[in-house]
Amino acid sequence: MNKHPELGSNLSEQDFNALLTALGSTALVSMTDVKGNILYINDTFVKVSKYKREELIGQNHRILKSGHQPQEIFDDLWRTISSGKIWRGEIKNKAKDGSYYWVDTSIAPVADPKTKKIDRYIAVRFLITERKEQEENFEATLQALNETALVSMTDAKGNILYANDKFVEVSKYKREELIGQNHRILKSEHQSQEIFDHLWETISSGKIWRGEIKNKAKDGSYYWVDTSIAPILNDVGVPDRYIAIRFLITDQKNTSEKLESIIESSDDAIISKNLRGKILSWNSGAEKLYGYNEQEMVGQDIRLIAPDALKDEIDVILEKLCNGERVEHFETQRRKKDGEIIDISMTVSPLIDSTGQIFGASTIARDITEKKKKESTLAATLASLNQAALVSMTDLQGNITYANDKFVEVSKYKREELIGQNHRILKSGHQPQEIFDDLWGTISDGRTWRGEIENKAKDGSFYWVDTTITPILNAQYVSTGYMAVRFLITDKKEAELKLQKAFGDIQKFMLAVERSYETTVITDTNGIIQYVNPAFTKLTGYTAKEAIGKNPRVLQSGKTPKAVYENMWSLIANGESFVSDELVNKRKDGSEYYADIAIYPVMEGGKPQFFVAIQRDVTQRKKEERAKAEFVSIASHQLRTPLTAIRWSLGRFSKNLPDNIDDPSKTLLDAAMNASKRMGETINAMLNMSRLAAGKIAPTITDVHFNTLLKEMCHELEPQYTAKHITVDIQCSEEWSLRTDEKLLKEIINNLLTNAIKYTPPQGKISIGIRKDDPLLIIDIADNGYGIPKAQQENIFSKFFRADNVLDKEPDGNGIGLYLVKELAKLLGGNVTFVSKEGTGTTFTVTLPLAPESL
Amino acid sequence: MSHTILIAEDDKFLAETIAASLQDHGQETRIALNGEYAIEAMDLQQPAILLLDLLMPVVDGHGVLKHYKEKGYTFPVIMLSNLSDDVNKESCKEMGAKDYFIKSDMDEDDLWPIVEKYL
Repeated sequence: MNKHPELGSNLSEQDFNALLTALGSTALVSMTDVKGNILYINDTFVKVSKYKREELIGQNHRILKSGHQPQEIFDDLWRTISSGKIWRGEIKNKAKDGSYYWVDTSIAPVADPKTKKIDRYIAVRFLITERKEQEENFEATLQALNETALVSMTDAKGNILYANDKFVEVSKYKREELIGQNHRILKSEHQSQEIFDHLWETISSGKIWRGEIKNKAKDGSYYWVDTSIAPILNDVGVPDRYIAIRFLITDQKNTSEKLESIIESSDDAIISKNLRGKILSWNSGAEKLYGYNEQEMVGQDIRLIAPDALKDEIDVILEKLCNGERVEHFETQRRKKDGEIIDISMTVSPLIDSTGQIFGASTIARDITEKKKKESTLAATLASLNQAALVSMTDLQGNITYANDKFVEVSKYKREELIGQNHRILKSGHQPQEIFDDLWGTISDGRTWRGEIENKAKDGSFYWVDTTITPILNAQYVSTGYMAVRFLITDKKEAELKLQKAFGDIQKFMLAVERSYETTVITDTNGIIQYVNPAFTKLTGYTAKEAIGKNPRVLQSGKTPKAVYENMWSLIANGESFVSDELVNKRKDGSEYYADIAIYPVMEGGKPQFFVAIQRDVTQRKKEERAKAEFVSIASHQLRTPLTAIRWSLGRFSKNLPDNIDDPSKTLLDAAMNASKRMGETINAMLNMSRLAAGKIAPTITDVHFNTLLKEMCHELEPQYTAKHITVDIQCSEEWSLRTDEKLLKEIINNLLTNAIKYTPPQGKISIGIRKDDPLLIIDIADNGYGIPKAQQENIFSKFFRADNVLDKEPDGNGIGLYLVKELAKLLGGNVTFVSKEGTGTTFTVTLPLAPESL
Repeated sequence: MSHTILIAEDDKFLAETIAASLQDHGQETRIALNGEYAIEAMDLQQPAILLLDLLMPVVDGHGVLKHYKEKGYTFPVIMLSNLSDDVNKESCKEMGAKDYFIKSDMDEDDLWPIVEKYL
């Protein structure tokens, strides 16, 4: 049974299927209806056309048309198959993706077995794309060759048999002038006969010759042709014709001619050599560089100019060239004719002949001795920088990628501890964050930052570095990290900081003076005001501007005794300080104030350089003191009045008693009278003390006959010392008189004598000695009494002080006497001192000026 | 011979003690407990001696001395005060007082010799 009678054979079903399968795996099989609409396609069809099966079924086959082939082909095809014959031809189809494929196509019409009418076409297509493309390429090549190359054919003698259009055009001969002519009519005669000998030798031996030939056109102009001549061999293997293909290379040749002149005039040394190192050309630049001229060098070995140590280098370079490699900007040394060694940079390129063979090398060399020198200077600079500076590199995050030895040394970290760490581990923490913000802002912006940084070493010590940080930029000008160069400036910084601190201290002192409530005045040694502080202005009303340049005497009210100023000047001029709270000064507005003033001379080299006066307004204090004194005065009066009444009443009572009053009553009365008397004395002493403190005791100076005064006083005290059986011995050989306040002197001596009597046991002795030690009168009052304990001697002139050893012996003392004695002696321009030993006695010594200068 | 002695003293008890003491020596005494009374008394009858205190109510010793000076009286004035400032001594003497004593420094016995001196 034949299922497929349209195939016109009686193949078995099995054979048919096998055939179909084999066909299907290599051929594109399809079936269409009479209009060309696809009914069936096999897998290969699908695969090649790149359409999906469902996209093709029902579609007209013409969607695969490339549009590259003339319509006549398809007209012929349709005519053939619709007439019931099989069509065969080569069709270019277009796949879905736009690519093309060629198919060797056979289309057979199939008739309906019943109607015998053609109702389908079966097409079997074999892919021939590869073959078709080669054919197309070949044609295109031939066409291009015909368009670009001069193609000609000669007989064995060189007589021209054929010349293409290009040949005719370039040679400027007419074709009919060329055909039959020998090719040699085109010779330029510019090339050596050797070339042509070689040419003929090559092609006549059946080989292809290739070379560059300069030809002459009919009009006498020349043209260069890259020429390939191939022999066409006859039956016996002998060339009987030659085909020549020539490409115009005139432009190229002209260029290389120009190049030659450039090479010749170049300042760079341009040398060519063959692969064995033999020098082929030597330009004037080479002559300049090496000192050898062209005649000396062409034909020589290139190794001649290499220093002995570098001769091997030439072999290495030549070997590289043989492999087609270039050597670029290779820096080495060469020896000049005069023996001098120079640094050069050279670029060596292989020389390729027209057949593509490397036959030598061209070298362009340049003297870089100067550059090298600069480089070595730079290297030396870098080396010294490396020694002097802390050099480090970090990545963009500040992580250390490099640290030089100096960095390691100063930071005291090990290198391995630093690498990979963030640089911030070195931060001292002493500087404000703004500095680092500025730093990062600057360098992340691609700019260089410079500043002074305090860092902390591993051991906790600090060091200052003058720091310059630069971004490291790559070829695209993008930062890849940072480089920092730091110089140690710790010494400088410390000095600076010390200076700052010193300056700070001075500022503090200035501020202290400026803000002080105490008025401060600085004058020169003539007393001219150099400086006053704001407190001065506040107190006196004089501004600094008004005061500076003036003498402080503008403040004098005229109420301070002149003697005070005289005393002041004599003290400060001799380098001593002057202190007083008794100056009455006058403000700018005329009002007066009490000034507590201290003047210090500032000495240098034993001489006062300037004076500092600090004064304070003590008017209020003075007022208070006066009020206090007044209070004491009135309070004393108030105490005295009833005391007087008691005393006088007791006196009257005692007088009115009968003489025979019994002893106990009389004793009590006497005790009451003594007590009231002592109370009166105490009140007087306290009053004196208060007056003294208030400065209310003003000495009245008169001539005092001291001997007379002393005798009077002793007489008055006689009842007291005779009662204790104490002897008083006055050792006095002369009459002494002095100018002083009699009453105050009496008070001093009386106190000392009373004390001596009081603190000397019965049967004791008191001696009074008077002597002169001009300008002083010296009075010694010595007793052999209880004495003053050593530990308490320094307090003996203090107010209300009483020595321990007499408290039980003489309970009556008030502790005011010696204080008054000391103060009164001072008031009189003198002094009181003593020498005492407990259990042995005491000697008080009063010194008084014979004639006080100013009192 | 008996004289009239005017005692100007605001402490009544002390004034009477002084008076008693002088009466012991046969003198007549008048007591004025402030300066105003003292002025009235002296204007009524000039005393042989005026013993004058300084600190007194209404009119003080200075006020009395002022009046004394204005009237041109000549009888002796002896100050008996408990104010011991020299200033007061000076000023009183300037205004005509013959002497100046601190009462509390005196015993009763000391009074008569002073008064007797000016009688």
